[in-house]
Amino acid sequence: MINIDSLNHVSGKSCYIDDVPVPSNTLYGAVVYARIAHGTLKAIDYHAALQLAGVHAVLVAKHIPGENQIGGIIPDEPLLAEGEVHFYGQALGLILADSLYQAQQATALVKVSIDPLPAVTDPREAARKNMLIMPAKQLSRGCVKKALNQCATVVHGRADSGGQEHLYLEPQGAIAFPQEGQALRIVSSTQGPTAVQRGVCRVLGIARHLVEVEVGRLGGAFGGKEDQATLWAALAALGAWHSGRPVKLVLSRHDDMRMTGKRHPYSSDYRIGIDEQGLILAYSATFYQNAGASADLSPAVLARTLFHATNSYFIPHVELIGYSCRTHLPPNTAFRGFGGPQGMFVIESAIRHIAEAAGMDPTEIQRLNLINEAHSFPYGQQALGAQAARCWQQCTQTYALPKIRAKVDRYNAKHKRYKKGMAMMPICFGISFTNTPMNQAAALVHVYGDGSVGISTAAIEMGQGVSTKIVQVAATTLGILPQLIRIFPSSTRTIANTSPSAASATADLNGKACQIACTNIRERLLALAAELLKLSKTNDLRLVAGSVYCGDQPQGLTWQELVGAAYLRRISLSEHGYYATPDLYFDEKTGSGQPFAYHVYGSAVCQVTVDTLLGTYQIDAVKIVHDGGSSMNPSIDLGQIEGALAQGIGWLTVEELLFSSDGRPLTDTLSTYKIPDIYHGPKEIQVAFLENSTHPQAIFNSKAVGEPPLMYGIGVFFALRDALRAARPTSLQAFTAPLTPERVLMQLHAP
Amino acid sequence: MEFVANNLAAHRSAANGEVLVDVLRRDLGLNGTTVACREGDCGACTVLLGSPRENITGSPLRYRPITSCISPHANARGCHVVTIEGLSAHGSNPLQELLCHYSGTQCGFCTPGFVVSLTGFLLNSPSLSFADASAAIDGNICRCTGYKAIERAIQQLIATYAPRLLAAPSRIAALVSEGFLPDYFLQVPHKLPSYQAAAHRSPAHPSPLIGGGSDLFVQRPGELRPQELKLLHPGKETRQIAVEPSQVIIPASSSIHDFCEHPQLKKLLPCLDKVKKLFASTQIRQQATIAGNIINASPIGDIANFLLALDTTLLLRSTAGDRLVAQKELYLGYKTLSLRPEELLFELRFALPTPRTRVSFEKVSRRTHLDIASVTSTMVLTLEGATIVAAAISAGGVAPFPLRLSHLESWLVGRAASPQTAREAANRVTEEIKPISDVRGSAAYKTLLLSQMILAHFLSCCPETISEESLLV
Repeated sequence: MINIDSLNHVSGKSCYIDDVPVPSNTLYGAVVYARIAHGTLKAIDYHAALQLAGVHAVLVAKHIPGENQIGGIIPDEPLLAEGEVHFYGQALGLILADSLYQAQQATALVKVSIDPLPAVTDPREAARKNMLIMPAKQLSRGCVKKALNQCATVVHGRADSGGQEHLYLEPQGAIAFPQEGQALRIVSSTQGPTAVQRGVCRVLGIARHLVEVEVGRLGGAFGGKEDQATLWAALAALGAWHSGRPVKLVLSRHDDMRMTGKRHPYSSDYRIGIDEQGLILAYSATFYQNAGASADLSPAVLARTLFHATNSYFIPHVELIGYSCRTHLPPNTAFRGFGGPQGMFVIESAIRHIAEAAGMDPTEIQRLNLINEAHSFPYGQQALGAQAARCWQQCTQTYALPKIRAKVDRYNAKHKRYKKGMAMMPICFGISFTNTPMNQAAALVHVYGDGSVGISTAAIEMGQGVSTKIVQVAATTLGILPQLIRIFPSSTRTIANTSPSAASATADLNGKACQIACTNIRERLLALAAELLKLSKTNDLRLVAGSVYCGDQPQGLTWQELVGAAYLRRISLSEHGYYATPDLYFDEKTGSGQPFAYHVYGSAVCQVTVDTLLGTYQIDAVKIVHDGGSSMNPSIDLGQIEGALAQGIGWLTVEELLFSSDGRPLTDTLSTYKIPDIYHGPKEIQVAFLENSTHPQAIFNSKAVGEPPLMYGIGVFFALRDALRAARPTSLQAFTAPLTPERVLMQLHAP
Repeated sequence: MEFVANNLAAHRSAANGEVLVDVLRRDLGLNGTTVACREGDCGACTVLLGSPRENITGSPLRYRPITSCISPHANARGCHVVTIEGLSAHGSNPLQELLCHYSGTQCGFCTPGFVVSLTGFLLNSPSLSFADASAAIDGNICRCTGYKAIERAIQQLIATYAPRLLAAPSRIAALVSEGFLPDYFLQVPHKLPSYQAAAHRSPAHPSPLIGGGSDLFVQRPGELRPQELKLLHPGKETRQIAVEPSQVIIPASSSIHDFCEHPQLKKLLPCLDKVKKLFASTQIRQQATIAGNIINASPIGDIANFLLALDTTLLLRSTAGDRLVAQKELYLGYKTLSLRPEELLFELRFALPTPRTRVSFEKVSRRTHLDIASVTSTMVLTLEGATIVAAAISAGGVAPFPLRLSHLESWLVGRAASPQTAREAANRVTEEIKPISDVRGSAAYKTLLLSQMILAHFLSCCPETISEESLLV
């Protein structure tokens, strides 16, 4: 089924936050923020700004009626700074003016005085100074120390991966509309309406039923609007609270890039040991996560790093420790993969390192250690339904891996300037929020008297196609044509206490809730149909494409007729479906349990060509076998796979976030921060779905697809490294990402 | 009337420095065009600007895709501005349907820009090839990122429609009859207001001269937007680039596109195709002017560095008369020029390369396309047999302004075009440069990179005497 939003998209009719119509009395907001990364906030003098024509108010911390706090997991993040500033870009105040231009102009007139303090941007330095968000997180199994003694080869080293700007094309924003009484209606560009509601109510000191948060759609999010949309909505709400007028706050790209957190950079140490065959006996890693100035989602991101530290491999002895390090950068946050990619990058680095030390083919070590059903993950969950080996096999066979290797080697033997490289990249990604209580969702389904259907869920459409999937779930479950179904904007008024659209689980959770609601409506209607048709039981009755069938026989009763009859008989045509993922538990104390509903697997082979003269490169091909279960929408899922891959490649190749040593952002524009364009992606992408894979906890057996494919991009880093080693076989290249053309050239010419 | 927006007259509503996208969205209610970066760096805000100048596909208007977020709306005076709404008047067209069918949209925010850029491709591409179509969206960023799906839609688009469109006597009429364009497109040329260049209001205070705005509206948008600007109106330059027997004359407000796509120049300077591909994007090449790239004086200006190696001479004009200055004499320091306040760059001239002259262009940036150079360099080498008789080498990104490597040039004259010469040149080049460390790379990297580029230049200029095997050890 074609994406139900696509026709609006191609004709420019989709409505994003900046397109939402506002009344003529709307005030426009602009944020005043710190231009220094760390210091004591002495004064904010906004007298001159208030004099500017069109300016109505300047709001600072003292104007907050409730709590000056928006921290989700840990309350360590003020809405507006007071006392100290902790990063360049931290919000200090909000200007309200008649026009956006006036508000922006006024920000320049606010005099902020800050006494600078030393800024820390390096997570290892922060750890040394004990600047931690929380106590270290640990996960272990067996005894690494003993196991290392039995290893034939042991190596240790360091791997560093950089941050990543989300660069959703639609900048962050929110509009707050005052309602009668104290109530507010907020339209927000957020992945988490409830998170926004919680934040706004805390800041205003009011009950949640007074704040209604609505989300139509997002112009991209990728995790960047999971926690970090709250700030802008809370500021708009604060403005509306004080002015009694609607307030619109949509960030400019520049402000967005300066003020919001990114993917966490990690600096990590590893130690790995193998036996003579190449079996990994022991692996230990220490992760220094650069959390930025406040916790945001960092604790949860770090938890996922530990859960994914062994990627697709079974390792009997594991010792993992993670430090969430507080630095003077914007609070880093969720980004597709959520710490998983950072953990997987380290073990993949360790495997290359030990392969080089032992003189083995890294591909062979990868293959030998793939996890299977008999194994369990270091956190105790059994690898039931593991597809690692099958994905690997189908990948190497479909794409003729040995031939690719031979071709690369032949090319390299013949060519001096250009060198080719290749790498295999298996992935394994756990599906569910690691915070177990978040694995719940609801759906409200209304069938109207004419047979049309309206569905509300908390699934935010941000390009991943979840609205289309929910239409498919409802159409299939109700047995009607998809054209009869409309997905309503998400609102806390219709669906309360929601989890954000995140963790790849949105279609599963909301789809299952919708399925439950639709099943209940369908069963009521079929019971009525049996009565109307004077049949004794409903067993054989079904709804197919809007008609009632008994077995294969149409009964001359349409969906519309049935709905009409139900109304007259006073049978409810609405249903609230609720779903909570079964069998999930995790014991933080023992570090074991069953945190994931299931795992998604896959394998990719990545091929590149490097110009060793200039250090530039091109990605020739990425060929994937992906465990998508039984995909309910292969076309949308293919888009998710190709898109995630491109983002993964961007993260490890050209996307480089730079800060000055005093914490000033240097890559806060699109002219300095480069994401993949049409030429940067692989010239060829092939995707095959793994055959015969299902999982009952995946909606319609269609496995979650949002995040896992991002990690195929890690293979491109190692393919580039493979090409570098073809040019300089004896040097051990650093495991430092992103591997920009600069790093490539400098490594090729390092002494 | 200021311009025609789709099928409707648009009247003047803002200071002429107000960018086009804000006039479209705020004043005309056309909010299908999205704004994502305000730097011309993502293409979401792409619109077409149709101006009365016949193009190669036979349309009475030439439609140029531009990024409306950094274009002063007054540059649209007398033009037909086409936004996504103007292409979707009667539901969807075949291009839009193919994008839907191949799942070429995800979040949809970038999609209007892609549709408009691809419509530009349908209007302008002489070959309607896949390569042309990809090039037409080289300035459109999709973060989701659906490039492969968009490519699949394009392949189908070309397979289905290219033969018929190529065979049609009028491209625009064919696009109307195939349903890609609403039929009002055929009437628009008669509705356009005639444009008079002199109709400036007198500004209250001196304002900078603006060409395409593609640099100044990135650097100083807040300051420029409320102003009445002096506009050079690129794209409406009536003079053409002239290739005379001994020299090339380029009107200063020629766009980068006009320069790179000039049929005769492309033959004389085969590396011009590489210059084009590595210079910004389709949209920016249509907006940015040659003059802007020279006068902006950025040390990494691609065209400035390229022309510098061609020994370009500048004709500066003022009320006091004309003055000829060598481009290499123009630059005094970082963004400091030997240009008098009243002077205007009027045209550029360079001598035609001879058959003995080889020209090599190199540029390396973090992302190969649509990025600003870490280092760019051009070498113009004249050979007699295997002997170098003249050399001109420019280097950008290694000094405060576009630099000529004059020491290296004189060292090269009289030497053999050999691997030894190339290697020694690569070593010597580091002596006359002073790169700084910045977001484009460390000083050490830029130094190494320029050395490597010198080797690449020799490989490209002297294939008869220098091979990869002999040069690279």
